[in-house]
Amino acid sequence: MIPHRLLLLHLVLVLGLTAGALAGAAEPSMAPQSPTLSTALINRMLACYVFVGGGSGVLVSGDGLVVTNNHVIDNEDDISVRTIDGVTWPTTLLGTDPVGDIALLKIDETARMAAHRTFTYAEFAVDSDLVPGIPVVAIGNPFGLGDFDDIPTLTTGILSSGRIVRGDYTDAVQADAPVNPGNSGGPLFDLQGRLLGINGQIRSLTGFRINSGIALAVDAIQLHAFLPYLQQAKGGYARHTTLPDGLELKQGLSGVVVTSPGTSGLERGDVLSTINGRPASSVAACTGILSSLPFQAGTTCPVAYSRHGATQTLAMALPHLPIPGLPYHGMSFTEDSGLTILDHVDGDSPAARAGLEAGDVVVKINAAPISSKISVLRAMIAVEVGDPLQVTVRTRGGETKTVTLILAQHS
Amino acid sequence: MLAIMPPPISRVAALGPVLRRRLVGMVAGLVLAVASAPLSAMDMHNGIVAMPIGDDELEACGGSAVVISADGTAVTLSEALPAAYKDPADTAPLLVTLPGGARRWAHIVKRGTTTTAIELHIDGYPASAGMVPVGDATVPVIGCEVWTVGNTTGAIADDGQPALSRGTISGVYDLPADAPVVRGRMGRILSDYRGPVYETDAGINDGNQGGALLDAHGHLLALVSLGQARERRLGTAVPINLVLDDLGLKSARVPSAAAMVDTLATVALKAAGCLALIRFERVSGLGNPQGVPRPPRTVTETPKYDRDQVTAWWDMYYAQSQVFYTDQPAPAIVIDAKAGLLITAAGNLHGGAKHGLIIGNGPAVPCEVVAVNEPLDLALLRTQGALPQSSAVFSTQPVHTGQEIELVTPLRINDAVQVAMTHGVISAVGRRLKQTAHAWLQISARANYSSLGSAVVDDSGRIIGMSALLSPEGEWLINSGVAMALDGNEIARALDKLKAGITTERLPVLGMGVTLNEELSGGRLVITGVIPGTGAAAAGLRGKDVLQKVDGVPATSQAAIARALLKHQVGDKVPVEYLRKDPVLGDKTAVCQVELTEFEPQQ
Repeated sequence: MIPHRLLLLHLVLVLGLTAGALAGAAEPSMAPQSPTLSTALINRMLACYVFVGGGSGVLVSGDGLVVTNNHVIDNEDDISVRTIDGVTWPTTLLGTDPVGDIALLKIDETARMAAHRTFTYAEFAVDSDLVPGIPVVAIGNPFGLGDFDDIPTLTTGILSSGRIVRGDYTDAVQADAPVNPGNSGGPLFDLQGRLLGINGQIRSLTGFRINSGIALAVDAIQLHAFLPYLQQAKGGYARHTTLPDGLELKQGLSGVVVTSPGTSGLERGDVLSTINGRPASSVAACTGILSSLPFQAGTTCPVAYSRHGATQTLAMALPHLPIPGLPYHGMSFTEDSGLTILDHVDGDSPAARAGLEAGDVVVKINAAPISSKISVLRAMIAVEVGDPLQVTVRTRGGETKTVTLILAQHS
Repeated sequence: MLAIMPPPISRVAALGPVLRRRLVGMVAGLVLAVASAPLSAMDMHNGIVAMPIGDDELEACGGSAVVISADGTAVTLSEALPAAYKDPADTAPLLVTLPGGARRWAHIVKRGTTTTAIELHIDGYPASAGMVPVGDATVPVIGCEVWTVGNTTGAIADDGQPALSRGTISGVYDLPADAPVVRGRMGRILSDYRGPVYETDAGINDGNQGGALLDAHGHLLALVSLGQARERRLGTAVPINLVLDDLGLKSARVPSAAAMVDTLATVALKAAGCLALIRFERVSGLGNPQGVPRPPRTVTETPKYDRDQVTAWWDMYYAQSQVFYTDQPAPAIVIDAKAGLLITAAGNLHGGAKHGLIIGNGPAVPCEVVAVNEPLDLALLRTQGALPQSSAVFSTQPVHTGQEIELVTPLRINDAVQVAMTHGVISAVGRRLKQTAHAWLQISARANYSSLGSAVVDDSGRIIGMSALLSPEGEWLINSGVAMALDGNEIARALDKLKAGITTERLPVLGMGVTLNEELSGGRLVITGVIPGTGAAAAGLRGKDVLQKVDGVPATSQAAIARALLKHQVGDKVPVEYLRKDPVLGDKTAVCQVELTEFEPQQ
């Protein structure tokens, strides 16, 4: 390998070719690696890009699945995307992950079929692709510059890190390609055109909302892991795991040490080495990694640790992380003649979308009989954002029906 | 001609003329390319440690230090020390984080006197944590590929791995002794370093201070500082030679690799021959629209206000400190040396300057502003006689998205004219910012107020544009990686009027020639008027016609129509489907071909 590289370097210096001619092999090397961006590769990357509101998104299937950031579509009533050919497509929100800042949209199938359209889409990178130092390409709509001409912005840089935990991003990569407000949800590619992640945050030395060489992207591993959960969320939420109850950690000289094992299965004094295959390098990293997985009942996470000098492993059972915020259903109640009646249903609320209407008499909520407003509160005392709420009502027409709505985040 | 002067790093040993060094570098490169294999990016993680975070709530994360010896000797800068350790009397140990997350105690061994260098010794430093080979900081030239490696926003402390960023050496100069301290959020002092630096367009952020600036082979060239030149606002680093000399450290210096000579940058430097620097009289300016007076320049001044006042003051002044102050000269491109014609960004004339002085390494030459095209941010200047620079020839070769470019900027620091250069790619071709026939090149090279009016150069040394319109919509775009440039075609189209002394305040609209408001009929826009002499009038469109589709795009909003039209040029014909309502004959949908024209914007 090296002889080839050196030969290339030699040729470049002698013949005065561009630095770009060196690249092509996306190796983790410090030799000049200016991206070689063929027109075909650029066009393929651009074709995967979509404008989403004030931000960006990326197509991940030929039939129109679009991944973007949750914060791009949050609080948007009508979400449509625009491909770079200027065509606007209506979409359906399949699911969101407010904790991991991921949202999954689906381009309206009727519109797609009517246009006889199969989309160019990006394929997810795998863990071994996320190598620090490799050249990367970011595509987005910084400062809304493409709103007027349908031309996205392409910038280049390198991957500054492997998989990291940074702030509320629990499985992310960092890049130095210029990324600015409007890039959110847009793709970060390697030079094979693989999707390394979606750009979602920047860090700034000055506090101004401009790039200073730090772009954080939700990485492809987390995107790929959450994709099936988002597809099944029916417009609701995918949940994250979190730390076992009572588990407490601290940073020691030799690493992260368990100070209180709680229900984790570890013991006080154990020193963590890896969690889910990722290094347990700090308390923040451990907390983040344990919170980075999609939750379903029975989710476990492999944890390697050192106890009395011996390395051991554990499949740690992880509970779910509540989605922050107050649950919202969009119903208000009143009592009349011993009945609990829907006094008002907010437009475009979970209740409205489930077909509930003002005047419906509430019979049961989550199987609990409803006899008063107090009983409504009791029935919903333990519910969280993202929980299903099963509501049985008797309509004005006398029909009894049971619907299930997903509790949203109260805006 | 604007000479490329040797960098004024008087304290860097044995600096020869730049061209000589470049030549030496290239020759050495051929040898070293064979002798020195490039390092793995993972190797860069070795030998970089995180400094502890202090108790000051303003410190977001600790800085960095670089281990240069297997016995645990490390070097850093005082700006990487937690606030409490900045008192030279404080010798308490520091808890540093090694790559991978392990921690060790470190002691301050020595503090520099001519720089802000600090020597540390890390107790029990494991060989497995590695060290960084020291390079020769006398070799680097503008355009060399470099990497920053450090505890960026706490990367090592949190993730056990430093963050990397790749860029070039974009400038070589001294941070002047009277420059103000660099401050971050809430007025926190980030750096008070003054002296010789390498400027880089690689990412430098909180946590990088004291960390490594490596060459392409992983050799330590400099320690990263958060110090900045006011008019550049790009990161800098203190040459390692100065650090080691100041600390009295002898290290086996590795001859630096010649791969640093970036061929693109070398080619781009050729463009410097047609650049000029002009000092304009400006009472207020770009980035300083209120004409806010300059903040105190006393290096050691500490504002004696309470915290709230300081916060408010610095919030404002830090923003203002990013301005391009009114006494800074502006770049210009000579387009006809014989006729004494130059162009620059109109933004450089804020305050309505009519005259300027071309400064260089010889006598100043007066020039006058001939005319300005304000929407294009383009100004034409003229001198009485011929100019010594060469005339720029703008390339007519097609450019493409993703193509590598350099932004080549003349810079005057410490009374010497130099060249600075940032690297990037073309981010978008044909960027439309308004509904006009005029398009911009969008580039990702870091652009700031010192580079407005500079040359955008392609990988063959051809000038393909002039940096302009730094902040198109009032966003804070300095060094954001989003910058605009006018290409040769746009400049050529504007020159005739400019040469005739005609100032342009607004550009004609590119369109069909209809006026619209937000009135909708059946979800489609209604024409409120047709402008005589336009394509719409010729095609027979009338007021109250309801646009259905324009070039196949449903006419649901003015923005949708504008986007459809901006894919075309003047003279193109686009199909327009419209509904004409007639109470007698009934509603009728028809399609016509409308030729796009330019016309004066309607009030």
